[in-house]
Amino acid sequence: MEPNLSYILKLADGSKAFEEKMIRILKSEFPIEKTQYLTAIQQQDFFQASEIVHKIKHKLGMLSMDNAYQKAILFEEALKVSDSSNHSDFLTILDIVENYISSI
Amino acid sequence: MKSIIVDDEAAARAIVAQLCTKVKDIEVIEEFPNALQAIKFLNKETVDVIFLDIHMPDFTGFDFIDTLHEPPKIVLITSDPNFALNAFEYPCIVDYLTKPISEDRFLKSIEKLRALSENAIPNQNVTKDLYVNIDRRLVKINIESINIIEAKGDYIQIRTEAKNHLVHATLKKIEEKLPKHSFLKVHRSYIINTSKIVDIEDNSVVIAKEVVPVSRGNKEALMKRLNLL
Repeated sequence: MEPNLSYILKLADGSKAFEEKMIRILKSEFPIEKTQYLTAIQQQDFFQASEIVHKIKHKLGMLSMDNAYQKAILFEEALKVSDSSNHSDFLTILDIVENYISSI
Repeated sequence: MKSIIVDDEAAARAIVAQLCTKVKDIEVIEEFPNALQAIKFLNKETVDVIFLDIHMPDFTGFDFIDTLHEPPKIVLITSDPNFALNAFEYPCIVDYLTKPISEDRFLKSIEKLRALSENAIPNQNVTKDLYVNIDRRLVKINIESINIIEAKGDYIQIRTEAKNHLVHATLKKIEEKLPKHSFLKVHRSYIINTSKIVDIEDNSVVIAKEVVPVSRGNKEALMKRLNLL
């Protein structure tokens, strides 16, 4: 469940520019997506929430969080039918990612 | 192979671009965050490959493919393998990659692209409609309804039976998208639908009550098209 940069480093193959670009994108996009997700949940706009989970799940994949990625797939589908019961679990994942991104 | 990447997520575009740097014969010439920008680009430029995200807001990857008259080879990028089932309906789709894309899987797609290029299979996808970008909307024009297309600076005017459309494109680009058996460039500023000709006189033709000039250099090609008695 712990995020890491192994996928990005493997793709980078020594390219510092690519590595830095990916970290820059994660740092700039993730906090915005988290806020958008929380707003959508608060407004009970579950379709919008599912769209944001869709984007966030790719970031979970990039951070090699395989288990969290699978959970996000199921949660995205659940949100499409207005089922937000896994919100707390997902929020825990978001907090882990947020802490990690702020540390890199 | 000249390629473009169409994906609304910056990270995904960066990953595909990075994977392309590992392949000698793939050059990424542009990246687009949405389908509309890519369509504008493809109205002016030709590419060999499009790496295309399916799940985009407003305009899905499949909507995008439907707008292309002669789509190049397309590699779909998706996180939902169910979308891949639709891919079988499109002969232009070579492969699909699921996110997060692994380098090994990406290289297999490139192998498929190369194999198809070597075999040079002509594109069989024929469509009756042309989608043009007007004021950020994609407007469908039935190709057979087009009478005349006239170049107007950086724009072209497409004159149909019902309406005229001013589109930011070149005459050369639209010529590539039209069926050659019924459309002909008769002047440096005009393409006509030859099935709509009413009358021909010296260096002009009449189509839908409009006189269109025919340049000397193009007259022979026009006369060859006609079923002369």
